[in-house]
Amino acid sequence: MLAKVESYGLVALNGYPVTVETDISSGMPNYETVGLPDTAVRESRERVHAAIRHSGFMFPQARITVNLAPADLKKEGSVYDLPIALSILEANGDLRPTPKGMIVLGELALDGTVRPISGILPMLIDAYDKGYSVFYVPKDNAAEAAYIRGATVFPVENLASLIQHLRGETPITPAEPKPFTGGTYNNAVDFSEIRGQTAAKRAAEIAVAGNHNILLCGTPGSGKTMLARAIPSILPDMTFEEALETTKIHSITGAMKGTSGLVTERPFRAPHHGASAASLIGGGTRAMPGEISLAHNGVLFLDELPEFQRNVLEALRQPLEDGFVTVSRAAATATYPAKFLLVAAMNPCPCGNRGSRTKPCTCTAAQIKRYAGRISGPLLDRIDLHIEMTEVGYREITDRKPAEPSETVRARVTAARALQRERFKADGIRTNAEMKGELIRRYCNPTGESEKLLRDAFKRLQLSARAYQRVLKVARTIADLENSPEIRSEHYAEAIQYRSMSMLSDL
Amino acid sequence: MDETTRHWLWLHYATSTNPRLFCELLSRFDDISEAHEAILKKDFDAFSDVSETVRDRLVTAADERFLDRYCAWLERNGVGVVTAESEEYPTLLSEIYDPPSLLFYKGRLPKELNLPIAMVGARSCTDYGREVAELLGEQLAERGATVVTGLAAGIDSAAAKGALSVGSNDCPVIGVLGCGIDVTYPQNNGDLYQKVIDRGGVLVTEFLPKTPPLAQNFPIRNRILSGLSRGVVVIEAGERSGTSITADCAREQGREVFAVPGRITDPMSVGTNRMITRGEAKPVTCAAEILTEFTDDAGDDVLNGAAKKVTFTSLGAIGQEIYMALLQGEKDADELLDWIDCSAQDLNATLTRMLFSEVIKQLPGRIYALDTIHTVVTFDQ
Repeated sequence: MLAKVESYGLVALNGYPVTVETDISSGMPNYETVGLPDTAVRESRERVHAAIRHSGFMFPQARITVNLAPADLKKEGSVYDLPIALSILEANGDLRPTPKGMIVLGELALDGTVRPISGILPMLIDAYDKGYSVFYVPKDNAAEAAYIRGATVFPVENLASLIQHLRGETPITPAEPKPFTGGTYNNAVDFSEIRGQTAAKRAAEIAVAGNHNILLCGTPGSGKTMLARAIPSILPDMTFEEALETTKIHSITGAMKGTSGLVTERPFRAPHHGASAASLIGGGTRAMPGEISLAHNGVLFLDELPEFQRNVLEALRQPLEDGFVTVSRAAATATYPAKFLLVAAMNPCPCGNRGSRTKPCTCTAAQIKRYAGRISGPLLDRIDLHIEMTEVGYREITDRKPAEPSETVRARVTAARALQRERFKADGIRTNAEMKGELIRRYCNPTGESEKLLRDAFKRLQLSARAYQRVLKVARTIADLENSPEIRSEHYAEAIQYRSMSMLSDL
Repeated sequence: MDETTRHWLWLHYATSTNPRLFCELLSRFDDISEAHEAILKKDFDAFSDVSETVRDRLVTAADERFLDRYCAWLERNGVGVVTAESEEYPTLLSEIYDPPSLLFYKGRLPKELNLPIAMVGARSCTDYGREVAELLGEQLAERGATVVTGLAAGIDSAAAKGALSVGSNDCPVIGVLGCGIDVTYPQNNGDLYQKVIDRGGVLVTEFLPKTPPLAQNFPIRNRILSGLSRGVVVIEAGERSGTSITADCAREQGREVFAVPGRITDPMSVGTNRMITRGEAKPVTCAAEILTEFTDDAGDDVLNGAAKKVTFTSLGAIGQEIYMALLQGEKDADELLDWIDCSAQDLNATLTRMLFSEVIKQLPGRIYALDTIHTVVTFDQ
């Protein structure tokens, strides 16, 4: 007998349908899986065998061939346990042929329970786009799958219940389609908790409002890390599209198993400075996403920036510019989105005390130069805002003057983001930071006094062409924060402040 | 290279940087070629009291092949040699107690210098010191003086940079090294070395080629530094520093010593302030106060003669408040925000404008201060 069950496979974020075909013929009892299975797929034989027996069926004593079509694509993981079990039972005559157009996914435990798998959301979104609408997924993955509007998702608890459902004995209730209830936000550190640092907080607000990358530079203890950790609390809520994009990436790594389904909080990723290029950019034999993709639509925080290996930092340049990254490995090539807000922090010099008024700096000019030189010019150019943070004095720590809470700042940021979305409706981007040549010319054209100011700045700060464009973009965001349709010269003047870091120009 | 210079090179090599031993040995013979002859003949009668090492070096270096190689190396590297006997030897230097027996130099060595003024100071100087050194160097060069510096990090380099920025002076800087003529110290000063030579200046040293910049070299070097100059300006000096030694040395040589006063609480100004209070140095606040000791034509006696004048009213409301706040000392952005009742965005915008019009300047750590050197704010009644 021959049976066919449809399932799905995934290469990076792109899915493809997989047909699980099983043939049972008489002969010496034998079991063969073909269609480029990896070890996990080949081992499914043992899980399927045990699961079928423990679900109250006989495992056929015959010659069994399982083929995963298309036969030329590598099949990976434990996704095919459930469809294989189903097709064996079907081929054995325990089950009537399953209806067409349904996708079955799931890993089996030896007792027949269905275990969650990774990558369910990208698979289902892709399958739904290709015309499939009925999905049988592990119960623990159902929450994730239920966000696909218009699809029927059946949460499967174990093999036996699926058989009963397919036989029409005890039907499984489809999962309630979940409406998107809006993003959530993380207020681990509230802006009001940060004492002093009014100027730095202002810079952070601008950075978030226009999704500009920001570099915080300051003496140890000036609150760089605290400010960075407070940034998630002023990020605007995620939209449904953003949430889906981010969840897809997190789903591939298996991070979504057993969670509420959707990443609704903007990710905040803070890899240690020992990180390798592969862990940051993406890699591994299966070309898995790295930290920059996991931070998609969120924040990537690199503390102690000069301590990162140089090649790791240089690898950031292309994704910072393009908003996506292509990871190529011998076995696979994958393209992941990587639009993140880069927040970087560094000390002003190796000893950390340069610019301090209480502790002397013991570094020589050459040491400072070498330290600053660890971050290449091209990378610095891609960071829109540079801000030096000053020491926090005793007076500020004990200051009881209430600081602005994150909620107020977030409201301003959200309003500025709304303005940007409206402006860029037809341009296919969402934020000021994403503007490129033509759009910059269209939306920021300094005239008169502003032009003179910028010409001065260009000469005095020795800006590169790219840095100059960054100033224009930041000025656009500053104007947006004030709800001003035109960029006035004071907006440019403020934007220039964020490029005049003394450490990098003075030596 | 003529025979005599070769013999001077030989004896200088053998006695290393000990000019007293050099003179002592030389005085035992009628002229240097006799001494050379004696060594070649292995006649050590006159050398009975010198150490084994020096005697070995005398013998090794006396070999003509060795001297050939030595001279070829000097020529190949564009290094000139001037002996104490020679016509070209700087006059001022020859007047000191123990002038170097010979000097290696790169560039053009002038016999008479127009107003050579040495500028010395701490290597780990403050921003104040660096700024003053650059400014005084520039003003001195503008008025035709030649700045003599050690070209080390800190004050030395800043003074050289200031002087080199003056296009009208055809010998703005003389660099006196504490290492071999082919050694660059600090390592990243190579460009500065080259610029000194390109601008008509010269690098000199008495140390043998390839001598590393050892700590003990610097006091030896400093006597040349002050010896070449008519006056020595001390910019910043700590409690106990090499700079103070140079100043002592300069006084012994009968040179004028000047010191730039600093704040009395500032550790990098302790040395200079003490020289002033003890009457060892004349306090100076501008180049004219230095040059007036040597010439009638010293120029304006203000530090910021070239400064722009800006009226207080033209600063605008926030600008005026920033100016008033900074009059009471430097402040960082947050302190300014506490001081002035305005938003961060208005402050930022005004700061940019004031930075560009050079009313204020930015220091490391986003600290702002008045840029009194470039701009003077006037109050109009």
